[in-house]
Amino acid sequence: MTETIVSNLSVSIGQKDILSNINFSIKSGETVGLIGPNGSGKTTLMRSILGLQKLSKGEVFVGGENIKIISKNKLAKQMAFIPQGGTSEWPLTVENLVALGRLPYTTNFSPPSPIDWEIIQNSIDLCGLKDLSTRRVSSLSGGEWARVCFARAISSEPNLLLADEPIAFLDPKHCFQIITLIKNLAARGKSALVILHDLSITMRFFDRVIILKDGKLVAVGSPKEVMSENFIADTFEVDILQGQANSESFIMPWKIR
Amino acid sequence: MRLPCNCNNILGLWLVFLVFIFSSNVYAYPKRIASINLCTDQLLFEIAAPNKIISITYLSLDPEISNHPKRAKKYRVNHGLAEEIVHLNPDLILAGKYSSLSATKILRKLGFEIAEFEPAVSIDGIYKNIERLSNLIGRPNIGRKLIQKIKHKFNPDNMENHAKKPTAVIFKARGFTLGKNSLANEVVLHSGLTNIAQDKIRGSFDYMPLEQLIALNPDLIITDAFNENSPSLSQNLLKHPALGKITQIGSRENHPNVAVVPARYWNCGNSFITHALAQLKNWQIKVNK
Amino acid sequence: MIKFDRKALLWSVLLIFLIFVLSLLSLSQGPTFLPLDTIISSLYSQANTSTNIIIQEIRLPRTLLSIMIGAALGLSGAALQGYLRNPLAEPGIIGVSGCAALGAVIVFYSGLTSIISIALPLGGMAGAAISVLLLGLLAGYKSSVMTIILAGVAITSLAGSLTSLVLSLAPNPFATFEIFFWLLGSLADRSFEHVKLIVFPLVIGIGLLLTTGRALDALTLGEDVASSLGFNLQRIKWTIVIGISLAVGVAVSVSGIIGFVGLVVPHLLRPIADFRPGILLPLSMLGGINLTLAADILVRVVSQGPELKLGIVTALIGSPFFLYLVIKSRSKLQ
Repeated sequence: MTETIVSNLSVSIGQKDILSNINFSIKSGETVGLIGPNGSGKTTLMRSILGLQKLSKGEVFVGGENIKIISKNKLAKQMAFIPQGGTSEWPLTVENLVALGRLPYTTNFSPPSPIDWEIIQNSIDLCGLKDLSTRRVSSLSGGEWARVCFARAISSEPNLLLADEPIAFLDPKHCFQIITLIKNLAARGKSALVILHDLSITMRFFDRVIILKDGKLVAVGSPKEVMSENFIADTFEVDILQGQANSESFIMPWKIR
Repeated sequence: MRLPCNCNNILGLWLVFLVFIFSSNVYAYPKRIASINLCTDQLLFEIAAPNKIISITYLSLDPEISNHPKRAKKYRVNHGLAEEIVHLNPDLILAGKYSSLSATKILRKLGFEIAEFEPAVSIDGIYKNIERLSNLIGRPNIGRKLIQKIKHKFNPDNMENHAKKPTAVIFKARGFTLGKNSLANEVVLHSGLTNIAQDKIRGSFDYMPLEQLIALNPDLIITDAFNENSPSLSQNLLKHPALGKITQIGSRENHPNVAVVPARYWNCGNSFITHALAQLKNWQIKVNK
Repeated sequence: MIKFDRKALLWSVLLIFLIFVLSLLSLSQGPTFLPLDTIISSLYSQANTSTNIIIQEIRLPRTLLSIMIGAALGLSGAALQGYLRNPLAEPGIIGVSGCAALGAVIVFYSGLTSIISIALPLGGMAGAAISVLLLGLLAGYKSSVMTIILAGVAITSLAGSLTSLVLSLAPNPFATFEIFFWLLGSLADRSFEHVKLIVFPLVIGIGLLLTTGRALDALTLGEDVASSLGFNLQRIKWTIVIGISLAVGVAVSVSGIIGFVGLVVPHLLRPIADFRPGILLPLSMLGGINLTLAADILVRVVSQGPELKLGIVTALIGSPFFLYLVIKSRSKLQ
């Protein structure tokens, strides 16, 4: 069972409620877009699922196990996390950075096996980084760096990928590259929860959408169900343009109200 | 008895004269002597009348470096600072030539009488200092007696002169060693030992690496037990296992290879130098067996 | 430790070989000249000759201490830099060594060491531990380069002046001379007693630090990702704090402060490690041994008579590096 269940989750910091009573689940093979205005609690929700955030209420189950009880190492094999922007404090080579994804599978006394290296090479190939594998990450472009982060995450072979704005700052081509990588992951039965700000991409490429506002889950469902023009306009407090192209509908933030 | 009148007058004149002589004598020699140096303290204790001393240094209280710690307790101690001396209003201040220089300078400026003493680096140097101080304070006889006492022990005829001279190295805390032109060297030589460090070091004193001492492998290591009761790295050098091995024992004291001569006997030049000589002569005989 | 690849392996072998060469050189260095074959045969000889005593009781413990302390300093530097993700971090610069010296000085001059000798390394360890915690308190563990350096400077100067104060107040008149030993470090005239005193805590400290390699690799990606990769950040922190306190604390308690080894060595070896903080740990340990051995040989070669202090030599080598790193990081700060 590789389902992810978030049940009754609340987070408060001091007197302030950051998240209150969040319930949803993610099935395997599903890509879920997490959207909402700035400060709505998207990143906190993601950190809560990762076990990085102290919960004031509720539970998170990943692969059928409560993240509070499961060992950190087991959890690390279930989930991979791509933080917003992402940093590499030292200028590692692409290969060595991607290899960090295998850390949950190694110990001090068992270094990476040939199988681990094969997985690392596969991840590099999958993300089209073969020619860059000996480059230092400090010399990469934004698009290349985003793919390196992605390769590192999938080399952990996670059942659930959590990505915080992986396509922010990317041009359309690199943006679609990452989206394709996420979709490929889902095609292999893995699931992904992705924080986004691009409403049209969310609508077009994700199986389901979760919308947060002021720490509350205001909608969850397929994009067609929940991303109606009026609802999105109200949630984000902007005017929305809706259109049709090739029998697909799309939305676009149009102007401030 | 009734004396004739003129006789009375003559007696009166004599009295006046004697009083004059006496009082002028008392006036000429200092009555309030302060010392701001350990070595001049020690000389004062040996030569001066106890009631003429008004202050000595705090160092004289330390039984490890002072030969008169009990007597020192009777006096006001100073730390070699001008301020401490000024209000005592001494008529003679004894100072070392190379210590408390700024205090000496200030006190001289203020008009005090200051006598600076060279540290004795030879037996002759001790004689000179004793002679000078005893003359200064009007006790030349005591000075002469003291010198005689030392001379008797350091008489060249009394010098131990055997064909076989045991080798010795002075090795104190931090590896401090003494060579040519030092008081200790003269005592060592007079006791019939050869100080083999004197050709190995540059000046009259130096710090000798432990390894060099072991390589020299002298018949006798002369050290002091200075400040063994409070911890210091400098003193710990003397507890180095290598030294223990070379002398074949764990504890250094009373072993034929290590002579412990108390620092107070010879860190300053005074009559206690004869004690150092006597101890070393005994060691020389023991080692020379 | 991700992958002990060929380059790192080759360099490790080279560094280990160099340790042997430098150890022999270190054994042959001293005021008395002894030929190499005599030195080697002296190592095994049972006879109580002065040559054997010089080799076995003076030079061998000195060489062993160079190796142990060099390992501790090089490794601690690499571990601190990896943990704080800051190439300027070094036990000496951030005040760990200074506080370790203060701890050792308090214990030693109060006379506690004469009662139980183990008090000396314990004092050093306590001082080091307090400084790491103080640094965390003052600067926070993930603060900027400048904050950490400033906090370190403050801790170092406080520890230095307290050390001088304790030494001035110590009952032994030699204590004031010994400020130089504690603040500048030296391995002269140490004995096997010192080796025995520190070997266990030092090895445990080194062992603890070596286990943090994978976590330091993970921290390259930031704390959140490291945590998501299964590492317990609290545990890493305490392993580093205890490891550094043990290794640096006991090292300083017998050698005084030997600065800059932990700065220079990881910096030089980082390209060989391909910037991976994990693999840099064992490499820096070997590098630290080499640098300390070399510096301690240099100390004996250049100074006739009374020895230069070891810390002077490492500072002369190290401070240009420090300046270079400061200039390099200035561009980052702006």
